[in-house]
Amino acid sequence: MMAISVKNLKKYYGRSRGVDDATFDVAPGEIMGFIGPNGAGKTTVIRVLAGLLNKTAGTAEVLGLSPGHEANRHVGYMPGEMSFYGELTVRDQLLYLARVRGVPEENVERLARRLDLDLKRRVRDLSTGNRKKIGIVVALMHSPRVLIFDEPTSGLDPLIQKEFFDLLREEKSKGAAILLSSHVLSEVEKACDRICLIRDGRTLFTETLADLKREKYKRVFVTPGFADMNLSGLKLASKDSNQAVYHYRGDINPLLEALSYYRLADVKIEDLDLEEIFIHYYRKEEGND
Amino acid sequence: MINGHVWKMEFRRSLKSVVIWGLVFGGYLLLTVVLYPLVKDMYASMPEEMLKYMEMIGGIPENIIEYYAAEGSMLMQLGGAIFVTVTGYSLLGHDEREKTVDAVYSLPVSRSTHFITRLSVLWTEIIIFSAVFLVFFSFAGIVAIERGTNFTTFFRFHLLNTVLFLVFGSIGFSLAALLKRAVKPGLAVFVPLPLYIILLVSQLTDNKFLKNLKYITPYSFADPITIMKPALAEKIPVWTLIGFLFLAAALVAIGHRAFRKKEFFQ
Repeated sequence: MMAISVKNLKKYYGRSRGVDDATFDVAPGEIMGFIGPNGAGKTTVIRVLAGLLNKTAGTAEVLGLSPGHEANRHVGYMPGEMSFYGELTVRDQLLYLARVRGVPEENVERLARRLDLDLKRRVRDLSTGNRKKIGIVVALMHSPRVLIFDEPTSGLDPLIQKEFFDLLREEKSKGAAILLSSHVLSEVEKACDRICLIRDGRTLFTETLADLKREKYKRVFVTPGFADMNLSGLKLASKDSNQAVYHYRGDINPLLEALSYYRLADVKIEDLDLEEIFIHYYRKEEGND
Repeated sequence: MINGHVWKMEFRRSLKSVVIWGLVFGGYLLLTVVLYPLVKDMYASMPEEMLKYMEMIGGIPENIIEYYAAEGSMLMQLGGAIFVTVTGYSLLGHDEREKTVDAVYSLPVSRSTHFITRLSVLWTEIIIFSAVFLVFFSFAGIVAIERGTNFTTFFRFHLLNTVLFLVFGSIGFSLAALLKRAVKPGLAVFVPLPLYIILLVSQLTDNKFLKNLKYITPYSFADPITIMKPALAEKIPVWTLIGFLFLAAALVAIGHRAFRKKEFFQ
């Protein structure tokens, strides 16, 4: 059974679109990178999974359960913007949430030590980064079977970011399914087993990183700048008077054959790295799809 | 049905304002009562116009309890009703305002449990506010000024006044569940204030239609003058009391149903 299962999920806020058609799943022991441009619908999907929003149509399940308090027993959730009761100390805030979950105090203290979180300070006096640390402790304190993080590392210093990813890997090794939404593509590349890319409320693809790298995305520089090259998988990215730049996805041989019909002064073909592939998908304009 | 940890946290977080406002209103009642010997002399030299006004709201007080009804408890009742309505609204709505919904409603506690737990915190606090602060301070003041006072109507008033506060608190609480998006809790004042104005209009007029408006305001079943003036005691509108108890219960039930499906936006 998949730990997280989202199928044809639709969420509308009145007439405005939150998510139009999201489909993906996350298996136990897997870290799924959930990426997409701002407004793509990532947070909406996450809030449906956390039981904070109701879906309009489709399926959203956590461990076979509908989102809600029963599913939340097994879910550790860290939202993008985390607020707590400002007048409480960090210890009081964390212990309150731990008691509601029936989690021993040692779990809170162990995580706080690892994240270098000062338990004596008042929540209202904390920086954004330190509030994020509270969020991480809250998500992990009960060693849940499902972890959902929405932009967890923004505001964290590099040492704590490293500690956070170490913690994620530990939870993964224990069998937790992890959904990690992030705009930091390098950390997604480093930590995730699979990527789900969402844009305009629709899932564009869900692939393993290895498959994504195997897809052979190329950038082709053509001099002079012919803008009329026509081949399946080849799309014009930019053009000036001397040079045209194309993005190409597919086997190299048809590309070479297509190039051979032109009288070229120069041609350069290079691999796109993952970040460039993501950015390629992030772009909304027609012709870049 | 009630989560002990949530109950303690909500009680702890909202108790401070109950204590502060309890002391403010309790202190106001105490001060009003201890001034009775001075005010009694003022009544004797009151101008004709003021006497007419006093007649409209029950006449010149004949003892300290009637004085308490006319001078202290009316303002306390309005202030207290506003306070409990805003407190009721805040108890359920504060997480949306403070943006703590993600932390609180992603816990393995059902919405129904949250609702019932917080409602029980509200009712407890209203009883503390009413019984501990308002009754205690005014009772202590009256005992200090005039020993041997008959407190029957005093306690009857405070019992009905507590019911009134429970009705307003429950309405404010249900509003937080029914509104789709969080609004400032101060807006909850628009529940008790207009209803109080209706009561005042009904008391200060000779028009029969306007006089009957008092039956659509819950203040009428806990009107201090009607209750603490023995001659008017039989006029307590029981059907208004029953009607508002039913209305509050219906709003709580509808609010409970709405809250179970409520969406929390960022």
